[in-house]
This record gives sequence, C-alpha cells and structure tokens, in this order.
Amino acid sequence: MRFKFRELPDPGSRAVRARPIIDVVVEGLEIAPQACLLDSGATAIRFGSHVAELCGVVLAGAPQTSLAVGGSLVTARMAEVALMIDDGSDSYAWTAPVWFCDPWTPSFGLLGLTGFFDQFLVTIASYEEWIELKPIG
Amino acid sequence: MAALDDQQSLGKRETASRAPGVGGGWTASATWAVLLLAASYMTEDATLAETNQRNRSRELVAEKTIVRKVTIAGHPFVLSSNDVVRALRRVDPEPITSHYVVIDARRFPPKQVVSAVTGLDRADFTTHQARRTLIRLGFSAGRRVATPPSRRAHRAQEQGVIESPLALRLRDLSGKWVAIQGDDVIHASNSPHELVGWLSKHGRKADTMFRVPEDELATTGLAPL
Repeated sequence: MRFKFRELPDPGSRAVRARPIIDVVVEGLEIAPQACLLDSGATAIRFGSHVAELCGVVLAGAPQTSLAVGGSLVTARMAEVALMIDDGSDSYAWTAPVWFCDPWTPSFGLLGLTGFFDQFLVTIASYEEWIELKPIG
Repeated sequence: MAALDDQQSLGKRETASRAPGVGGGWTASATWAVLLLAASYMTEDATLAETNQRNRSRELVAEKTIVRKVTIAGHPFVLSSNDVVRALRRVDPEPITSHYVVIDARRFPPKQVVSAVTGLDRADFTTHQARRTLIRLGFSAGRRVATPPSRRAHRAQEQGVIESPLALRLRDLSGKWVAIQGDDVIHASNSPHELVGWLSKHGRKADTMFRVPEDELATTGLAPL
C-alpha cells in the first residue's frame, strides 16, 4: 500500500510542510478516520482519549500508566482496538493495543513501534514524499 | 530585449533553484513556458485577492444592514441582513452540495438560509431564487467546484511553486478540528465530539479528521521521554 505525504500548513509561517500522515479507521468510528503521524520514536500507538469516547471504547479498569509526553505528564490507558488502513486499492485490518492519552496536545494520532511498525515493513521516501507499507507475514 | 533576456535568465535561475534535480538543456520555449506559468500564477493571485476584497466589502455592506422587500414563492417578505445573521447564529450549516452563501464567515446552502429566515418549505423555491435574494441582502455567494487538479497545477505543486488549495484553506482553520473529504473541508468544529456529531447528524463520512496544527508542538511526533 502506498500513500502520499499529507500537505499541511506549517504553524507560524507561510510555508506548507508535507508529513508522513496516513488515515486509520478505528472500529466504531468509521465515519471519521483518524489522521495519524508515522512516529518511529513512539513505542506504541497513541491517540487522544477523545477517540476512545467517540468509538465507544470503555477504558474503565483498563491498564493505565503515566507518560511524560513532550515534557508534560499524561495518563495513558490501553485497549485492544481493531484498526484498518486503505490506500484506495488495497486495505489491511489488524488489532493492536492502543494507548489513549489525556491530555493530548498533538494534532494527530501517533503510530509507533508496537502495533504499527511491527505489523508492516515501512518505507518512508521523504524526498519523494510517499510512504509504502507492506504487511508482515 | 535586454530586459526580456534578464527576465528569462531570472526565470531560469529561480526554477533551477526550486528543482535541483532537473538537468540542463534549457530552451527558449522552456523559458517561455516558465514565464507564462509565472504570469498565470500572478493572475490567479490577483483573482484571489480581488475575490477576497470583494467578499470583505460584501461583509462590510452586510454589517451596514440592508433591508429588501422580496417575494418568494408568491409570499412577500421584508428581510434585513441583520435578521439573516441573527437567525443563522445558532444553526449548523448543512452539507454544501453545490451553491453556498457566506453568513458570518460560515458557508450555508442558500435554501437552508432562506427557509430558516422565512419559514417557507424548501420545495417552494429554487436555489437560484434563494441565492439571488441573499446576494441582494449583501451576502457573498459561491459555488463548490470539484474538479481534479490540472496537470499544470500538479506539476507546479511538485516543484514547490504553489501549495495545495486544501493546505491554503486549512491555514485559516488553525486549532480547529476538521473533517476532510477529497480536497474539501466539509466541516470545522471546536471539538472532535462536535465534529463527529455533525458528520453523524448529516449522514456524512469523512476521509480523515484531525486538528489543524496551531504550533510546532502539535505537529511533532512526541515519544515518551
């Protein structure tokens, strides 16, 4: 599956920056796929807790941890969630542990190592601004 | 002719610096193509500036309160621009299929506006009547055009000469949650819950949703420290 980088305005300037962002369909929230940044520096998939509320994931009693994200302390709770990506010709669905964080400052979800990079062979062609994902196994 | 030569060489230098991977072999026709392309962007910029200015002046006119006697579907009304703004203040815009009018910086289908203001059934009048009525009250109107980007625009975009129209529009929505479909912002809200509520209410499906980054922190992948 191949995706083009997403062009977004660069905050604080007139420039536009293309970023490695893909849309992930979260089960229960099919009407609004979540824009997610590919982030090999993140250890797991992280979304804002609003995503859990919107897709009906109950986090009461879920495994919980505190993380320092971007210098702020956030509470993250984990749930197994069905995810799907689609490039217009192919799609791939899988289930992954997702950490729902509160508060959440990033504009996008973050696709990290566990649950995303361990599912795909990922090629990021930054110069040509495309991403290729090959499901593993 | 000297000035033209200077312009040509300037065009050559600028384009070369924007597309470092492109090899030499410049011809006069290629240089002219660059000049024509630049001229067309200047025209587009000028058109955009004129449209913005026109819209601004229309908004100003609307602020002055225009009152008109109109007859819609055989019913006479006296409508004022202020009444329209007030009536729509707490109304969510419905999805735009083609025509729209701008009320208080939001886009509405013209028939939704006229129906909300007059109480008439939407089947009683046409979009054209509604649009004309609202334009006469000083509101700007437009039409959504869903055309694929031209080859020239695509090529220029690849060279970093212009930015995508979507990125351009998102700049004004910094900090808002947006639902995108194709190259259109179909709705913008202050919270993700409002946004998904709107999609659900109107039976719409977005291609993607996110918050338009308002600062660098919001755009960066944030690994746990």
